[in-house]
Amino acid sequence: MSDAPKPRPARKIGRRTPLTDKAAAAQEAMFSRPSDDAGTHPVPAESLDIEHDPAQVDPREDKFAEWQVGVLFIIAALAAVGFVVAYVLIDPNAALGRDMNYALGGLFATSLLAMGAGFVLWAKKILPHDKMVQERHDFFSPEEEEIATEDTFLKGFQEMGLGSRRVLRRSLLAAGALLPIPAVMLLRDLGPLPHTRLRHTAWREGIKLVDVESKLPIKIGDIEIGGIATVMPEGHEEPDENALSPTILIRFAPGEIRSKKEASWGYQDHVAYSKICSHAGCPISLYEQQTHHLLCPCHQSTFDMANDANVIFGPAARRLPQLQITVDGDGYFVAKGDYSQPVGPSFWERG
Amino acid sequence: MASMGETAARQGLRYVDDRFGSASFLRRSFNKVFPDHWSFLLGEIALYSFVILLLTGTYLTLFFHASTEVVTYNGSYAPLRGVQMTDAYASTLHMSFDVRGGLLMRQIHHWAAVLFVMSIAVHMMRVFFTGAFRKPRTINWHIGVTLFILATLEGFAGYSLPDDLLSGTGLRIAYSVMESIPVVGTYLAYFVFGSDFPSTSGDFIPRLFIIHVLLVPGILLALISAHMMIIWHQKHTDFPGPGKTEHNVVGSPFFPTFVIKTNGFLFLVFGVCAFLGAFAQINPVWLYGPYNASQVSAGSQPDWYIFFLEGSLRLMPNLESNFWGHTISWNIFVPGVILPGIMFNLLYVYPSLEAWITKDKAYHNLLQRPRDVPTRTALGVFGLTFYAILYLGGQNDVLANTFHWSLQSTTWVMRVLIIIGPFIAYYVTKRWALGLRHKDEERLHHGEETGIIRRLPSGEYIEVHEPLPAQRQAILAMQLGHDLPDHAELPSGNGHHSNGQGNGQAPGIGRPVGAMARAREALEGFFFERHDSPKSGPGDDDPKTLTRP
Repeated sequence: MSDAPKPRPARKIGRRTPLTDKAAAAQEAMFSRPSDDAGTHPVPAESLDIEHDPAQVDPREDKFAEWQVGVLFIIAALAAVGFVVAYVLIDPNAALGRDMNYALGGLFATSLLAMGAGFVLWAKKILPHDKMVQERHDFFSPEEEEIATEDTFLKGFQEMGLGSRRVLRRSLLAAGALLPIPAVMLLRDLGPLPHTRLRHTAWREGIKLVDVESKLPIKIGDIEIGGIATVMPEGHEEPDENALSPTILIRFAPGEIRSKKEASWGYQDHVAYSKICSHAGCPISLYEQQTHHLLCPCHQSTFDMANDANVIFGPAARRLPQLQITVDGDGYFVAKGDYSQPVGPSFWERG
Repeated sequence: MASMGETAARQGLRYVDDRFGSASFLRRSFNKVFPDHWSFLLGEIALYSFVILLLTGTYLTLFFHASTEVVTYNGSYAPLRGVQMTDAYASTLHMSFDVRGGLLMRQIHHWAAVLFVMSIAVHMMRVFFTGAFRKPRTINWHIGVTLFILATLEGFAGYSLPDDLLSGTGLRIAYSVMESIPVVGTYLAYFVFGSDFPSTSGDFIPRLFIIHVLLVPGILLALISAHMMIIWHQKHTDFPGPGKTEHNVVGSPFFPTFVIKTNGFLFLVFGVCAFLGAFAQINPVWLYGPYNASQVSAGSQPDWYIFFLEGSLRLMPNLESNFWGHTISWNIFVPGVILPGIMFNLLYVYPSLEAWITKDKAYHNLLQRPRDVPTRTALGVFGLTFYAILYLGGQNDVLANTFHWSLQSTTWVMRVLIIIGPFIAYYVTKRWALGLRHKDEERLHHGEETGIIRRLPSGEYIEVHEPLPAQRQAILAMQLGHDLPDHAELPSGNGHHSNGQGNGQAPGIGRPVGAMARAREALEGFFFERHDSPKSGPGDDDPKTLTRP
């Protein structure tokens, strides 16, 4: 199948930097020692200007160093014992568990730090300081090796026939392209299709506005002028199950609402807006009573609540949707329907 | 007579060798030389943080319930007793207040996570600014960038698990970022979260849990192993120094010196994490309360490695397009998806891009100082400045509040800074590096200033310069690139520096053909601008200044 190996083309890969004269000379001067078969040879400490080599200090100093390390290891051992004692003796509920955390953590840290310091001191004061020099091996293989491997690969590839057999190649491509599809299909039931879920909330005509704090429906007069309440639709009060429904109800002083449409969608200076930021979906929570600005704590989008909740600052691109409200016969606030546009952040199908 | 210990050791080694033939491999490993420099410890901090994360994380899984089932809390933490919450949050409270040492393990785990990502980031800076990513270590750089991205995701997944108010806010934003992806975003968000936010189906926390404790750690473990094996195989880089060449490693043997040192370092890193876990409170989820889709706390702040995304979301102007019934929210898609995509991809391609621009095909084992390659250093600082402004942008409300600035002006100042700041940083860094190089050239060619003023017979005053010791001169010359053949011809008239000897090509002959080649020439000119000012090695100099007076 395969022809005899072709003569090798001129190499354009890789360049072997020769050792510079200066570097070679410097190395020669400092490290002229025979190396072992792995290209490694030690360099004595004195040639590295290391004055204090632990391997050459007097025995008393050596003994002292050993004790220094030993004391650190003893501290580590004692702290470990202390940990056990603290675990058993300290009241785990004292100061909300803080005492326990300080004691266990402090002793654990002491043990570990003493252990670490001991090891470092061991290396510094007891182990010899001389260095080793090791030759680096070339990252590339000898040329014959490279060629032989390339030839082996190409020979195998030719035997596979992917280059020459068209039916084989194309059918394999088709199978390779289609085989992942079942794997992708298996992911289908990771979640439901969005359908139009992002366009709707739990609000419907006649549903009462329930305060999330008190869990009670809100009546006209419950909120003071300048006041604000977070509300959920009655019967769907759990925010985590209706994450798009949280709504804020604001009461303005008479005449403060600057937009006719806003006033007409509200009821007697009360207006309701989606609480879900039109930017990244955080529940907006910082209301400035004097300026009527509502600020999102996540990315600081600011909305003018007295003027259709228009964006006056920040990364939000759209105003907050308004919920049309009125009051029922008993004076409770109710929604006149769902939001007229999707609430929360934008998505591809939003339009 | 051999001692008992010696006999045991010999028998042990022989037992292994009988089965693996490992004698020569082990001997080479014991003798493997590791160079010393404090900056080589940065990667070790990352490695050991990962070890700590595995140990403490495994402990936490013994108590954590990855479930969104709603339960009523009745544990030791009185303020939340009787409150309805998910089992995930309740079990986090349980391990914090009713498992002795549980809070300590949680806090060590979180601190180690912060340290893990941070040490990776600083380690990457070291590798970048010293040129350690150059051939042959390009692939290891790619693995490293992947580790950085995965570590960030892993951290985010981890602190999102307890289902407290803060983590829920982060997930809400993540959901919105997914929604913002054109065409597939809505479906993607539904499939990942298993429903609309915050996962009414209850599937999301268990999914996040298995991603956090199995999938990502598994990939991290595999990639870290590959990273280490490549380092082991290619040997560590080193700074130029006495006796160090492109062809050797100078340092301590793996056994015993490196083993003792690195074990000490493992204990120290663990000890620091334990100390922080004991005395520095982190992520006190019991103060935030359970997640509630109608609430958010002011000043919600993610872990540090998410700040840049938070900042990019905050600084982005409010652009959105509507057409043919579709919406693209540029205000989220650009800062949340496109921008990090570009940033990480630039990190991936930089080594190849630089090698292509500089036509550098050589192997590099000796490191460069930041000043030695002013353009690369300036580009790195350009990127860091961009990142730093995003990072600060992620806290614009905190900054405004702390310094009593107007929030709007703070944001606007940062919007301007994010555009011009990196360019200013680039210019300053480049001049700075060139200035340092210039100073080094002076020291190399004219020696160190001595402070001795001498009057010449002609009446002229000169300051006497002391030449550097020969060793120092050689190293400095190497660092400045005079001695290396690939830079030696930098300043030649036609703007080419020949890397070509021996590779069969003849670069620099004739004018470049084609738009790509011309772009490459232009980029090369940009990269080497002013590198080449004084064309001279020490040998070319006035001999008077080099001889000791």
